[in-house]
Amino acid sequence: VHFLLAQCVMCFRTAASQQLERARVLNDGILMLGIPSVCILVGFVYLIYHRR
Amino acid sequence: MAGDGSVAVIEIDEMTAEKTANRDRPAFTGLISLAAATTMLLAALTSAYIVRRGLAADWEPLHLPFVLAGGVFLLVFSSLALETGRRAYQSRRRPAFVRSWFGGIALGMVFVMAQVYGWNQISRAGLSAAGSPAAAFLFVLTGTFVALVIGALAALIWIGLRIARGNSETAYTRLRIAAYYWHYLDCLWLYLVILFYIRS
Repeated sequence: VHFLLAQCVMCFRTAASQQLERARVLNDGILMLGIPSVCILVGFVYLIYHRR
Repeated sequence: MAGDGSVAVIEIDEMTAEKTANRDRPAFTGLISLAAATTMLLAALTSAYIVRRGLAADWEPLHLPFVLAGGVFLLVFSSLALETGRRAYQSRRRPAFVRSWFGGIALGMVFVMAQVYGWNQISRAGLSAAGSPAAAFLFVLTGTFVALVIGALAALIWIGLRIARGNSETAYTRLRIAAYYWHYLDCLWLYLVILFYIRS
């Protein structure tokens, strides 16, 4: 598990050391990946409970 | 006597409706899963597009081909045709179904050809996937979408031919699932066009 966390720290540090504008772009990219997947997950959980 | 007969008919109708609903359920779960997978595929590409566009200094906006926005109209009209076909099938007008359904498929094919024309236009302007990141992302995003459309077209053609040859019990479920997926693809294309025009 430790070496996995190390990669997280590396990415985090690289991202945090960017200028504000570039950090904002990265955030947009992360949100673009995160929002649809969370919506899909919520949708499936709702469907499973609804149809039980 | 007449009353008995109608009660029996209603019971049979309810039974068929229930059977249809039970059969449709897994089909709709499949449709939702496919739509979710398609959404994530395009979300991943969009995310890469946004980050690549924002982080590098070599990004030069494209002059977008008009077939991009024109495609919205083609897809919406083909969806309308498929929906008309679905209604015609429901009210058992088979010739009208065949006309509308295959009309919708033809419009879908025109859409694919229009996108190929758009890619040619970009190539002729001297932009290649290797030379211009904006062109590369346009090729990848619209190319992925066109691949999805070709898959959906194959399904629509297969279903249309099966129904044109003869009725089957599961025909209406198939027809509905395919038509709904097509409508969903319309929305995705509209999203892609808006993405390209807002952040080109």
